[in-house]
Amino acid sequence: MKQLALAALALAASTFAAQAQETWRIGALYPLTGSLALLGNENLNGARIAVDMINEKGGVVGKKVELVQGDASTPDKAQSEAERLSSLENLQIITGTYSSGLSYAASQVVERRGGLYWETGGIADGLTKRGFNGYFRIVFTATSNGQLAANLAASAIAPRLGKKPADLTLLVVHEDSDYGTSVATAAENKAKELGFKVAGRLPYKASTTDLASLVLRMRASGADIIIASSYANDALLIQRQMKQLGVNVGAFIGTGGIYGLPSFGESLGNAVNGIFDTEGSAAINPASLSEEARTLLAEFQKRFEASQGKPPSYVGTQGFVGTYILLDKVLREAGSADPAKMKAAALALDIPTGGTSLGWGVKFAGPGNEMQGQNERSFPVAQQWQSGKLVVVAPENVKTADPVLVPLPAWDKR
Amino acid sequence: MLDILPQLLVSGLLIGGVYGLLSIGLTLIFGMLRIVNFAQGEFIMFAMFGAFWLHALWGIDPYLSIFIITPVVFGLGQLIERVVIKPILHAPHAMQIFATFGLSVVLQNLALTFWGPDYRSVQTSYTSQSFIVGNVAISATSLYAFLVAFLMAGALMAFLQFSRDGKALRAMVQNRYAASLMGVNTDRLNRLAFGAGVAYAAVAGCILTPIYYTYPTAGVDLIITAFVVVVLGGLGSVAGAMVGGLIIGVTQTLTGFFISVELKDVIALVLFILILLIRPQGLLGRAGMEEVGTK
Repeated sequence: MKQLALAALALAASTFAAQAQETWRIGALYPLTGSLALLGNENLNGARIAVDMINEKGGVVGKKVELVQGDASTPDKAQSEAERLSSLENLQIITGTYSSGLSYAASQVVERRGGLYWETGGIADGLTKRGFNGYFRIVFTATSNGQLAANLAASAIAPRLGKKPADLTLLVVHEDSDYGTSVATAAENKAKELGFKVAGRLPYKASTTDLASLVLRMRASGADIIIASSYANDALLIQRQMKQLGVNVGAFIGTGGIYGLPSFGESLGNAVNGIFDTEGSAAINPASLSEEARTLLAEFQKRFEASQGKPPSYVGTQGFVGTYILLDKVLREAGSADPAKMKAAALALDIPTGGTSLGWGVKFAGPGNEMQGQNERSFPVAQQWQSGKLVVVAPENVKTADPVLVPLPAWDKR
Repeated sequence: MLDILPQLLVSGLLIGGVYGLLSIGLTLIFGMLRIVNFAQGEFIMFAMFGAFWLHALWGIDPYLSIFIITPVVFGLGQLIERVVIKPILHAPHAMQIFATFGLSVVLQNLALTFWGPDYRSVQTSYTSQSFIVGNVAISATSLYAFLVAFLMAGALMAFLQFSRDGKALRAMVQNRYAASLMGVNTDRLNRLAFGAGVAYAAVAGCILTPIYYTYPTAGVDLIITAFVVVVLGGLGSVAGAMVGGLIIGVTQTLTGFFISVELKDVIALVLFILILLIRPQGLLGRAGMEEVGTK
């Protein structure tokens, strides 16, 4: 009897091992419930389509890819799910995580176990300042995003307001998490460098239920240009309370997140037109993309719309782009899930700008670099809401339209 | 700087009214059932989704949807009282907390499953409207919330004071066993109180739909301040909830403007602690209220 049980166990183990041999199992860690669920799911949906497309083309080195998902709704949960995926599920490669706070927590576990962490969404600079050998980030940093917002103010907005930066007052407002703080600090520093009169940087809690005091401080500062890093309700409150309290500015720049989502446009109606948004974008000039990147993007957009009933946002696209490169370039090149081979393949990647569907190239900063693991060829772009849609207005080589509605019309004329 | 003071006071009072509106149901349930309903925010969220869908599908104004959603949530609340609350009414506090907290998780995830994680919003002609009086702007949506809050608080206090059920409720709170010996049906009154408490959340949800985004965790952000307001006003005191709401609202707005937007909640909490040091029972609460009774 005992022998029989052992035999059964051995048989089970061998089938299990055989099954494990048949697919590449990749951990996918995103916040799927809780307050970050919207963009976490969007990211995962993008990643899933990358997997489907790879599998339909025969998988990677003859084997199909399977995503093993984990729900990282909070940093604690991110950590325990990373533990589960890397120990119980025995996964060496984990991708994620959309939010920087979650990425910090989860990637620590993976680094300690010697695995590969492939970040497609978290932008806090600090993530790639830890000297981790197995941490790779495909997306741009918070600093580059904040700097872009200030650059946009100097290059596109100031001339249209007919003034020099030195004659313009700029105010930075932001939710006080790691994300908002790092983007806003970079924007503030860059704006000072560009010669703007910076009226200050005002942090607030994203969970707040009222921002009248913030909006009144905007008015008191006499700001011509506002740069804002917001989460969700706070972005809506700022716009609606600006209108209610009659606070008019020359230009308003949001730095990604909610400012680039259809929900934001829907909640403001016509009043959304003229607001800028800096982050990545799939709506960049197609001429700046390689043939392959263009084809992939079109295929992805078709599939996303078919499965989700809505076009993908930037966040969904970054999930797709990041995961596709991981599978098609890194895993295929390494030919094995061995983390050492994967890391070498990642470091050897050299995709020129325009080679991915977001316009980015891929070249990771190597060991010894202060930003080890950061993709040096990713960049945010500046968009603007025009006629209820986001269009890319900067930088020059990827834009599809010129900025309009600068200065922003007063609220009663919008 | 001082010419902005009237605006700050008005804005503070308006958001204070919203806090009061969010708190009434919570304080009612605590006052009557001695249960802290951690799922109160989720009832607000459900009502917001209700108002959103009624508007999206049939163009029903969120304020009108109050008359559809409140009775539904009132009924749902009675059902939930029977299934979740009644069995734990005399259980230790820890168990009560787990039960209502669990309820909140269930409701949040139900919403996530049914409606997805998207941020939804209702846009009506009055969403960003304001009335200008002198140099003070009064947000229309906040003003309506403020007025409804006081109306609802007044109605509840009158109900408790003068109606037969209201008197029975107060009797039940004073002494549950004596009341039931006098022929008061405490099971029915518990259901009524819980149903009414969450119905207040439903009203608040409908009123707030034109102001905030609607999403599965919307209730969490909205209800946090309400817990502070309820304790500040005095547990179980409806008038206290309104006064507490106004105090917190004005404090936050003033400190947000003059000191720091980031610290406005912290400063309001420090004030909250100071008041509790002087009046541990809350502004309008009675000492030992958590054991005895409600006003």
